[in-house]
Amino acid sequence: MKLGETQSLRAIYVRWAVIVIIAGVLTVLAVFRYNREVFAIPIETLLRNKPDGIVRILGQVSAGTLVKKGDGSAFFYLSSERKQTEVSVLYTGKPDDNLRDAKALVLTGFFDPDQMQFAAQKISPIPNSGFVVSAYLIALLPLILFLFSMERNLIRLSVLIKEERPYQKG
Amino acid sequence: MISQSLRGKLWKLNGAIGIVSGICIFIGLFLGLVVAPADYYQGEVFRIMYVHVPFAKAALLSYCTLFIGSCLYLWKKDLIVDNLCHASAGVGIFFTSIALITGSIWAKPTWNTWWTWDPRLVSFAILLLILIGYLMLRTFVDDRKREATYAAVLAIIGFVDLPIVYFSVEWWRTLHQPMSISTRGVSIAPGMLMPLIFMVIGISLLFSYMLMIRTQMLYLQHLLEAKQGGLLSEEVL
Amino acid sequence: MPFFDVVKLILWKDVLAEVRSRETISSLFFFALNVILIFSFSFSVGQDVMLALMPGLIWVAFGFTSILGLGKSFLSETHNDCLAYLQIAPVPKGAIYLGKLCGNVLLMLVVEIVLYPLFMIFFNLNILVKIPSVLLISFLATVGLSALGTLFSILTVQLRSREVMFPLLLLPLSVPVFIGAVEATQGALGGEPYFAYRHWVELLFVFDMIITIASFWMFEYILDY
Repeated sequence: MKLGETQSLRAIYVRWAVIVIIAGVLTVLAVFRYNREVFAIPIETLLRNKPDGIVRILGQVSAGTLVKKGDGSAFFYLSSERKQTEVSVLYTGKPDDNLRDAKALVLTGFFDPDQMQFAAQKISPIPNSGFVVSAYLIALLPLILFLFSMERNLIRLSVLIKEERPYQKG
Repeated sequence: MISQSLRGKLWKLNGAIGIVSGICIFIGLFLGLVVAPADYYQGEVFRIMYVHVPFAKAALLSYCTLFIGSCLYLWKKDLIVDNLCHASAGVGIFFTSIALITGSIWAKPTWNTWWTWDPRLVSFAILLLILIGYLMLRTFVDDRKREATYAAVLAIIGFVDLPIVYFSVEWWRTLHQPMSISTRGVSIAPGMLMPLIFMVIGISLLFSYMLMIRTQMLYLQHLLEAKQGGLLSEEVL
Repeated sequence: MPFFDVVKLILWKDVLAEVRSRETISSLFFFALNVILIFSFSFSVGQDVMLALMPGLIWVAFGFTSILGLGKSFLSETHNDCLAYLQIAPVPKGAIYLGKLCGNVLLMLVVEIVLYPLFMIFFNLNILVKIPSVLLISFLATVGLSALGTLFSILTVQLRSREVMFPLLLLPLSVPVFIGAVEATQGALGGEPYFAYRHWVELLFVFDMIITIASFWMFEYILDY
């Protein structure tokens, strides 16, 4: 492609459509990973549905209820975000710094409906994914729009320059 | 200064740079969003770093390009170099403002504050103000050559001043705010480093791609104005 | 024409014009007075908190006054094509910059020296025991602001929107001057020994050196395009 020849407008549209499709695929993959590894249900849902198998729950350590033992395990009450319900939790994993009074956490483990107790094996920090999503949208959407409009402007200007005839008697 | 054949080669190189940068960005985003594990202390919020850090590095790259281009313009008086400076400032404003916004979004869940008077953040804010002042100065000056000279002078003074701003804010901050919050010292596990490297390389290449496209766009705009004015003067070419 | 003769000539011309008309200096002085008055009403705090805020208030008042004064430093040259004559004059252009810089520093220093006693009266500040250090800090900060301001004045004086562009360009780049001047003045007025705030004064000095040399160098290009 010589300098002076430009790509057609259609090539720009096709290229950016492909980029948007790949971005969509990446978003879907990211959402799958999120559901698989990060998604946590609130305590009200846990107590209502009483699911089997490994679940993740989200809540806050109730103030004053945390009892830590020497081998890292601990017992505490986890209250929901609206502070309406609580569930007792027995944590049997490694010693964890994230386990503090009044800290918001995500716990991975089993729920025992008979004893109404949650046996937690892993502690993770709360995902805050609203921040991640908004940051990526703020960064990548304007980038795509800016690049797309610049390339389109380039084509439009080249076309205008080719068509412009100086000294033409109007 | 830049011959026609060199510009043709640069344009083809630009297409290749665009493709490589696109590949790097997609690999970086894939590794960062789909493969990498979450951080121990910060959780998912760490993934914001995968856009914040590359954009900040691209902003600093635009600042250095502006300085080098301005010095080159004052030396050679080539108007295409002046187009490069103008493009660098425009693209730089984009990257700097997004770096500041994403940094602020990262700061809120991590330190529970939207803004902190950290020297790096303040320097970025002042860089944004300098770039905005630069573009406004260019808009308000009428004569092409005068606009180029004034803008180059402003860019050089701004470049010289920004490190002084950085150090003075750093001293001021150690005096008035305890060092409990720092943008440095974020230790990164290897699994989380690879996406960051890919994203930094990808966005830096993307910056140079955007720079070339915007320079070409400005050149074409000036060419069109000259043509519509009726005379194709040597000044514009 | 030798270098320092040009500097002296330009300085003498500006001082003479100012002494005869006295318009810039009186407008600057009364503007600063108004700013101080507004500040004293803007903060509803006690006397001791006011004293703690004093260095900041002093330097914000001087900063706004400089914006007013420095923006006009090349304004008289825009009449009667004087700028074009300066451009073609066979003199080193950096000398013109230095002459203007000395004129601006003198103007701002006069305004500040007249204002410090007023600060003492209104806010019960005790400056008398620390006059040397306060004068030194004022001098260094004024040189810094004027160095930047003189350069940006010639960049903006021919634009339509000079009143907006000049502060927009000046304020972000003069952050080190404000930080250094406020911290050093706070140290001086707070009774600390010179050793305690020495590095702020050194920051002002380094800033002045770097910016004056850079602007001196750049001035050639502005008047020579």
